[in-house]
Amino acid sequence: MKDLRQFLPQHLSNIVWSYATSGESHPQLYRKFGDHIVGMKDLGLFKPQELSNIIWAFATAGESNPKLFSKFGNHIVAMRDLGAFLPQHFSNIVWSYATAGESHPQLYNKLTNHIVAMKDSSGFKPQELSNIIWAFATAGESHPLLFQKLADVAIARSNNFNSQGIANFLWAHAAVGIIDQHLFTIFAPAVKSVLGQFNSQNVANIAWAYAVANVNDPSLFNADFDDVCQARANDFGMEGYFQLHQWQLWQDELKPGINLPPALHKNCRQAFDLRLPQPSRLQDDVVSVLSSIGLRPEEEVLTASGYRLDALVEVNDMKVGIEVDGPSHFINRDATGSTLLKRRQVSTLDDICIVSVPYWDWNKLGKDRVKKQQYLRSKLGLV
Amino acid sequence: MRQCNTAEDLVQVAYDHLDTISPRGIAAFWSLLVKHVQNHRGGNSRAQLNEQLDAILCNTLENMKRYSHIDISTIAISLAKIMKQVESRGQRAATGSLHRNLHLLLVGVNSESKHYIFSQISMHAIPILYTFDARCLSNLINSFGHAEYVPKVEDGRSILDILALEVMSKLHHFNSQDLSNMLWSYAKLESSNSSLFTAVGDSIVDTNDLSESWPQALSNIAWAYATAG
Repeated sequence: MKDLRQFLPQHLSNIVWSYATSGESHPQLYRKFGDHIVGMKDLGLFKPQELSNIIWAFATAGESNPKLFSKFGNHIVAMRDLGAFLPQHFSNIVWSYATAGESHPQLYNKLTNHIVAMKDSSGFKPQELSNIIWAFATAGESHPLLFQKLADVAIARSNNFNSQGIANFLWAHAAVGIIDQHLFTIFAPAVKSVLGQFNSQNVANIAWAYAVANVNDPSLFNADFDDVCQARANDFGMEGYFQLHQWQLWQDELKPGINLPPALHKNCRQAFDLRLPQPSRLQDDVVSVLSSIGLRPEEEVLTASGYRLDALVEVNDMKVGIEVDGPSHFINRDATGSTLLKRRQVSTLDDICIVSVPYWDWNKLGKDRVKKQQYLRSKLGLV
Repeated sequence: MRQCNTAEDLVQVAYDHLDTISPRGIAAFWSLLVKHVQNHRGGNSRAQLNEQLDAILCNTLENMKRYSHIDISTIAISLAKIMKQVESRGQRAATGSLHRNLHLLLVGVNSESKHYIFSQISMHAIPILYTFDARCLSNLINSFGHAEYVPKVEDGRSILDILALEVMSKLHHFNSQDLSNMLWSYAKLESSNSSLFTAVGDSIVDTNDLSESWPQALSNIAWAYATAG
């Protein structure tokens, strides 16, 4: 071989796909191919399958190459039509960007517009539906029309999803805060049928997703579910414990709900309580202004349910929790599932009304302390 | 044989010359049959087709010890491509159709025919592996990938491990397509060989890094010198 120019796109694609599929590591090879492709004038000769296999291989092998991801993303965004792409290509591409942690909002927009406009969506297999929605949620990309369209496709074939596919699909909907209760209701029998196949992460994700969606199905959440949790009690890890604690809180909301096995219940609560406060400058500023208007805010208050509030004030003899919500609490300024769940459970279980101070509102007020005081007074009904 | 318009014609010609046909001719027959199978539109074939195909396959396997590395690798990749074509379609195809006949003959119940055929190919290829060039090694390996079957050899080793050793000794003769097809097969068959993958990766990394921008850059420099007088 004289040089890399003799490698056609298909060769580049097959070779990196083979390394990734075989689990054979060769970082220098990935770097060589990645730099070679990045150096190309254009990617017009690459077919959809080659693009998707190459990007999938880099993501699967954990080979970071931001320039390559950027180049591929820009190339796809610039394409006039995505008609030559198959559902599997879309699935592999967005899965790869999400897995590699490579951001490319225009790419997600382009794929969304294309998929939403597709007249026939019957070609999407359950795993592709699940991977696409999982990738959008993981990347923090919420596109309600896409989620709705793929939910409709998924509902028609809920019995064909495997355990991982169901867990990822429902978790993703809950995570971005797109709560389609019909979807969760329809999927409940399918979830029940694969419950025994779930790993600990699947169990925790499903429990949490249903808690966010607030869709109870006694045929799903019952003693059998407890048994499944008990069998995996030592495998959940901290994130799983958090999720199961929130599921337990949801059961408390339902009255009467069911309880996790006692030892697991205790571990979940302890893990939830042990979460460290994460104060921010934004939060300090809001607390300072709350003090300046005569309120005496308590900071980082642990509620009876285990949630931690940024600040707690008393207004007209009522307890009001102040949540200073930074960017991680939102996708496109819509609250994430996690944010929605906290607001609902604190309100229901701790009987504390939550007032959210979104970061964009606060940032807009700049350094004007008087305006900030007016803003908070207005939010708290003190005007 | 190249003038035959249908699979039936091709099979008839090969069958009529079975006593005199050369190894190269047999290899050409299977290679041409691939295209006919791809383009075949279905429908019933004549009654003798199955018998004729059976005779050609028997002749192919019986005489394999006389075949060169080119013949063996051509037959292997052609048979694998036909098997792939008929593997799912052939089961559903009507009794008496070309695809159905080929499925019964080349794949068989529980893939038993396929396994037998590729075991025979392996058995005859291994003693003369030293004669295989890069393209033939790549085609032989690729045939296992398409057939999705890895024959075991007598000492229990996978033939892919034996082939990997041969490939590594000739690696500098492999072009990008040979490498691409070969690695794809190892991955597809879940029969990775770390030594081979490392050696191939190293050899690619050692190639000149002439990206597309270089010719343009060189011509720009030449233009700059020329216009500078």
